[in-house]
Amino acid sequence: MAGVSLQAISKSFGDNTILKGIDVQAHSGEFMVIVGPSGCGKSTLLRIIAGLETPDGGEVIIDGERKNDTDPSKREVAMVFQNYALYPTMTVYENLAFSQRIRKRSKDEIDKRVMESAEMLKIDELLDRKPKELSGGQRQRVALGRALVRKPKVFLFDEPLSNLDAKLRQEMRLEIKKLHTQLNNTMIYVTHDQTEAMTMADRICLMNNGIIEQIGTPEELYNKPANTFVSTFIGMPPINLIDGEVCTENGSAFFISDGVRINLDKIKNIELFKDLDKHVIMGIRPENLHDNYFAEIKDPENTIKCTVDLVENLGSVALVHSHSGDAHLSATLTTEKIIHPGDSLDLIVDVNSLHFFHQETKERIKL
Amino acid sequence: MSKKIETLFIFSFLVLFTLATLYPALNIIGISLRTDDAFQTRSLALWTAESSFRSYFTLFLETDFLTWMKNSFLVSFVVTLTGVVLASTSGYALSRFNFMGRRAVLSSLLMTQMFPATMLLLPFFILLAKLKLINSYLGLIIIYSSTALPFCIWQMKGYYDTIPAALEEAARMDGCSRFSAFIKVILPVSSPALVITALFSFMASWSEYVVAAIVLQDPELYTLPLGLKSFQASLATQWGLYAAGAVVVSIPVTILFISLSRFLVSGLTVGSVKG
Repeated sequence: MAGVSLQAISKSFGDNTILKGIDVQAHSGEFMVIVGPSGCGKSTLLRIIAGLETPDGGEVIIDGERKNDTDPSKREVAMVFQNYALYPTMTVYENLAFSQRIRKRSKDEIDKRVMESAEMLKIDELLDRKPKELSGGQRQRVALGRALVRKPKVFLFDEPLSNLDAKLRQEMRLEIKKLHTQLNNTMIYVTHDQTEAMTMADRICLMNNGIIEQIGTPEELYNKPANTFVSTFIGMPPINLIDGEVCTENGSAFFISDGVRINLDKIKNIELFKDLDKHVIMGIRPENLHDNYFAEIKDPENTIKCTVDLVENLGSVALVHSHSGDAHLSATLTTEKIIHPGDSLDLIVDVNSLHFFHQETKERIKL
Repeated sequence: MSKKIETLFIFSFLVLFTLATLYPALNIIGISLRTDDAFQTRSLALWTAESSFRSYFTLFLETDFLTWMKNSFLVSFVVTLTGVVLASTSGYALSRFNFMGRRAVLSSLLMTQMFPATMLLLPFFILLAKLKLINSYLGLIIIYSSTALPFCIWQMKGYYDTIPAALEEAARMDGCSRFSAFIKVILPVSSPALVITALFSFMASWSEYVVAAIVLQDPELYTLPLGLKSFQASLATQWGLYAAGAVVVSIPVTILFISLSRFLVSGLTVGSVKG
């Protein structure tokens, strides 16, 4: 097992700066997911670890050794590509065996390794087929198998599931996670899909515009987003962000915005607000808004009166888009009560799950 | 009903063109099997009472036809090999690497295709004379290769452009060097383009007459087109012999086309990547 450490990695293509001094470390045996919107530099970062791109500056350290100038073939890392990249003229067996043949391993050893991986991924029945005779899911398994056969120190995944349909994607997600539990190798997984990041990662590295916005466990990113970008990127449906002010009235603190007024007395470290600029952004996740109709304990001070704009029925829950004054609020509500656009809706805010951010810097206000 | 008429129309069209294609071929086979004065015949019958293989016997036993054939094979083989090796490697470089002058190289290669070969005869002749390569295969091979290469390089480059870079990246991750990834992964995938390159290079030299006529003056060195032309004397042309020669010359090309056609399949990369 080997850790991967990237220190001050920078990379530009022409005038376009892709990575601006990235520092990140994937611990030995860790499943790290690098997530971010398209063009944030996550794939370039992965390719730098693989050796397929050379960084302009910084250090790539794998298993304690500097690998900046090491050829991809000698880095002992395996990569699963987004588009599978199977060798079309070779059978599945030959695809799996290719890396071992290059390394001139004995036929028995190759056979053993290929069969081991094929059985693990349940592709042992497909060994005689060519890639074109396989379904998308099977191809992705072969691509995984090809990495597995090599028994590398580090596995790299470049959006491996993005070409699969939703159901298959979920299956493969579990499969890869299971593989990690079995092998306990260091795995670095790049995706733009926050669900994949949340469900698979030991730790997430969230990137945007060539910098790291936050590194942490999925829970940390969800519960304590470092800034508004992280708060909107992590969590589905996305968080509601409302611009407003924190004011004191009759000894109580309030968050006030057009159409929204929340009593903040329940927040423990409320005095922290006193030193800050009063202008803040309040974040509330759709799952932390509740329909007053079903609430056992009413909380009129923290209830927002909204008008429903649109209802998306997701089966078990409905995503209700509404507004109150200038504030737009999405809430995931139970479908027990049928809600129509135009209805008025009282939403109770779970005050302890509120997030606050500086209006200028967009950084989290730590309460 | 309209579907039937459409089919009928298509088939009549195809039959017409097939006949137009077959007529000269059948005619030449017919002439090769008859006596010399049968050149003007309009009959398409392949075998008549006067037919015999006499022209073929004469061709192989009494002329230098076999020597010319050997010469043609030698020249064509070397040109094909040069074409395939150089076009496959330079096309790859032009497709995958971004180096200074890449665009200039690509457009200058294209520009060479604008000049008809006959226009280049004089400069070629002067060049070869200065290099003392007149009357040598090397001179001929250089000219054939240099005229065939630009097209071959462009078409190899075009084919490589359609192959996802992830394929050789995967090979490099699997332990290949850049070169072995090219040899072991990219070349096998590129076989349709390689076949076209090989066929084009072979054809460019196998049936070429004008350049050969300037470069080769010694009858011992003649290639097939030059040899065949020598049957055409100023007073009498041996049409039977000429036709027999033409039939034999076309056989290797036909065999080559048929045997290589199975590689000319599209979509060889199907299944390798999502697409």
